[in-house]
Amino acid sequence: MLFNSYPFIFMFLPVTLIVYFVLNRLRWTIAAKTSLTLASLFFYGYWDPEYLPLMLGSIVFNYLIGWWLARWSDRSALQRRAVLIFGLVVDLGLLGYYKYANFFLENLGELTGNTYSTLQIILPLGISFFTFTQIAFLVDAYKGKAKEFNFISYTLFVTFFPHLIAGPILHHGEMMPQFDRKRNKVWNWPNVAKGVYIFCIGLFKKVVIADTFALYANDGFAKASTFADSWVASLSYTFQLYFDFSGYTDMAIGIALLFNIRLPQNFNSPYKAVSITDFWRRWHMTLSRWLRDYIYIPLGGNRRGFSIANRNLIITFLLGGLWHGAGWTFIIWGAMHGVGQAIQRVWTRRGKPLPTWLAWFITFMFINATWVFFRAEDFHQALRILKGMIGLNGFGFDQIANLKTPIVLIVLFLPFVLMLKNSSEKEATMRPSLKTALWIAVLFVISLLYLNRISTFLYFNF
Amino acid sequence: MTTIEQSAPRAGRDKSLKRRSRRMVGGFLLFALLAAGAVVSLTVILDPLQFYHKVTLYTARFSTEERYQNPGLAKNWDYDTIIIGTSMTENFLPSVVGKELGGTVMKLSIEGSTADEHNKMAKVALRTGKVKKVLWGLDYFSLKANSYDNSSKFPAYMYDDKLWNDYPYLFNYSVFEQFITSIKAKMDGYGQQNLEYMYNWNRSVTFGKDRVAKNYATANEGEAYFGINEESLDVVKKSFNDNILSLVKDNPDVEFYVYYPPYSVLRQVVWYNTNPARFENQVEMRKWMYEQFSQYPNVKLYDFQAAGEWTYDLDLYKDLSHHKQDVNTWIAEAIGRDDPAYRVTDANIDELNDRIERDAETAILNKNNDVVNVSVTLDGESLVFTNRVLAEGENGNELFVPAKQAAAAVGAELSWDQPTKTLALRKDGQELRMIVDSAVATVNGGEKVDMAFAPKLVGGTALVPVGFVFEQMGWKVAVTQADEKTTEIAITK
Repeated sequence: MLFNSYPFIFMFLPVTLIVYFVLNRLRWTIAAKTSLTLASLFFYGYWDPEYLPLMLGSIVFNYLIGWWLARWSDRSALQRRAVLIFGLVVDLGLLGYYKYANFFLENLGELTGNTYSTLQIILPLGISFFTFTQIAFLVDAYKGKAKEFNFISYTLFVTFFPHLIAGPILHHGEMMPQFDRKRNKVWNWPNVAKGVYIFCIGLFKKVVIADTFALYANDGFAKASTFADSWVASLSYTFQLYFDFSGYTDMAIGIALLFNIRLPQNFNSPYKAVSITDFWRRWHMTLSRWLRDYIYIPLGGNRRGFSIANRNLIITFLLGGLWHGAGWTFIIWGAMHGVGQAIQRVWTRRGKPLPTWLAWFITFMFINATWVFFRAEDFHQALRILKGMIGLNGFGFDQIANLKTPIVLIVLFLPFVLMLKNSSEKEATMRPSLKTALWIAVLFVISLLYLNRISTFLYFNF
Repeated sequence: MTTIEQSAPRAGRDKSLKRRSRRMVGGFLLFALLAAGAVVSLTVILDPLQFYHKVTLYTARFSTEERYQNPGLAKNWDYDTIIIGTSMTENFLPSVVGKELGGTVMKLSIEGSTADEHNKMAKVALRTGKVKKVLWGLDYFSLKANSYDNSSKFPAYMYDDKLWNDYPYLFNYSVFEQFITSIKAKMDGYGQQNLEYMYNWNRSVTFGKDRVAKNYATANEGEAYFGINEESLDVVKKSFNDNILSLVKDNPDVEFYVYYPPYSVLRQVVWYNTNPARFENQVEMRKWMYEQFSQYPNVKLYDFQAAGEWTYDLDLYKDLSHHKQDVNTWIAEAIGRDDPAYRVTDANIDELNDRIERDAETAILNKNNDVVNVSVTLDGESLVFTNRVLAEGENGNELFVPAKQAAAAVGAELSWDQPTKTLALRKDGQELRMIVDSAVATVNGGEKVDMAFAPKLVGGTALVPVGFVFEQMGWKVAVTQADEKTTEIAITK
């Protein structure tokens, strides 16, 4: 189920909310928790129940490993480490099989000259997210920071539907105490007001802004080659991705707030960043945190000298790239961010600090260019756009009249990402009032209109 | 005491925050409801797709999305005859059809559509009670189940009587976009659109045999893939019964004129080559559907797929199947005069089917991209091959066929040596060796024979000249050309 759909907004969400709070009101707290867990599983299985067993299997397995680690808290580090490694190997094996097996086979085929038939695998929804969430849990359990003996609570932690499909990536420690706090089981008007507020903003960002930019990004990536249309394509995508992902996260935060659960902030105006490191502190913050805590620091972080730290950074981002998708374009994208940050570290050490505006400009250009690899279907497409952006395929200014709309949109939304407060900041300072109610109602209704866009019929076969 | 002093104002703040929050949530619900109501009323009044009523307030332009526009046309316009079908029917001129069939015509074609969509479309019109006649272009592929995938874009809510599920129309951004398009068009000086040419693509494409030939060249290879999942006849028959025959049965007062649209003969050849199962199913269905129809007095069936005078003239087509508006006009005229040459009857259905099979077996493209017929007979019985290529030479024509099929026809054992690209046929101690792209063959290990045409590889299949092969393996071959369009290769012992 998607947040931005009629069945979710008008059926699933109201029913889930009512059932949860009525059961809590009756003080049937275990039933309430179970209802939320079952609702989350329904949410996940709504499209295709076929992958429900896989996710449930993964949950049962990790629950048992976590239980084992907690029970063995007095055993030797070696024994506990073996259990942890066993858990991690299974988790990564599952992710590897479903997400990367075909990619691996394809490349093995290219290397050896053999052709391997591709496996009939469909990527289970959200597998990257629920795997990472649970890996963090196991590591935390190993370190003694997390303990969970209640299976329903554990399942709810992993599947709680606001964060299940697109994050944020959570720690057990920041979630479960919230569910168990007594006053969180009572309907809370200020939280509902805030939740509705940030949900509407997120919905508007996703379905009106991002989906509109998507039209121009898709069009551009399909055929742009000159300077003008390549820039329009890459900037459109840069905006699309931000509004899409941060909008979706806003919705997640808003929905969770209705249940009195505070999800961690995931975006903090990333395009205001003045360095690549700064960007990663603002973009998909919970993923950055995960990569730092579970890859970068275990590799040694920056405690083992300047060059090792740079190496660790590059490895971390290569893996981070691969996490986003099984393809060389994602690996290149990750590599660019890793190497970019290493270069930046060398510069900070040796060179003079740049004026802020120049630092921002370089950072933004860098991010915009790397998104081209992130979006492109293959190298060929990425290089076509990048070549276009540096003017190798002519300028195409005569065609600029056709690009009027996307250019106006880019200019219009630039101040939103660069100067104005982001949705988290707005939510933090929001004072409930009828005026606010009016304008979010308008955002909401406009968004609903956009959910029913007529899509053009593509004439394929006959 | 200090604790109370500190907590009292805080509790008050919480209370007022709670009150204001509750008011905000309530306000949000109320405003959202009001705004939604306003949007719905505006949509009903403006009704840019003229779904609820004919618009008189402004000049509404028709949407280019037939699936969304047609229901309004069917409900709110005057007509007594409708046209149902795929893009094959989009080039009918309503005035011409009206003159030939006698009536006022509304064209309700839907591009790339399947029979379930045709059914829903026809039902909207039939429910109005206005329909007396239906002209239905019946394509075999519209009955195939796997083309239903398209239907995810089908706005089924516009095709039923229920009001409550109309919300995707009442609450639709594109509808307002359509309104703006209408206003813009008005400002640019466009008047009311004419239904005569709506969705007609005759003038926006290029027709001609060279285009068809190009299409043909890629189709033979490209379509092989479709053959993998040919659905069984049960599925196709069910679709026919549910979507077409049921309407004929339920509307005894409505006359149905159903026709099989004429594709170019190469369309049949490609199906025959790449997907024999489908070709056979199609031929079988042509007869079966006729038999079902023949039980009802209110339906007449016409077949234009065996109409060689059109299907062989590639200049009438833009690709393998899509024909010109002229052809639509001829179809309307033929149906109008109930032309016995095209009207399917008990007496002629088998002959029509035979003609299509013969076309598929013998039709072939020559150098000038004209269709000619080349047939092969062995002791008077016809020999059939798929993937045939015509070779034209000064000393008569020759036909290339896949080496495997040639060997099978001869009854010889075939071997293939990949590095040297050598084909060898062996039978009863006789051996014929040919090398791809070499015009010299070797017979029985020594004797060299010149070939008029060298074997070749086309798309991974080795093709050999069939007459030459039979001759070298001990048969007599006579090539006769009755006229420039008909070649017969007669093989005798």
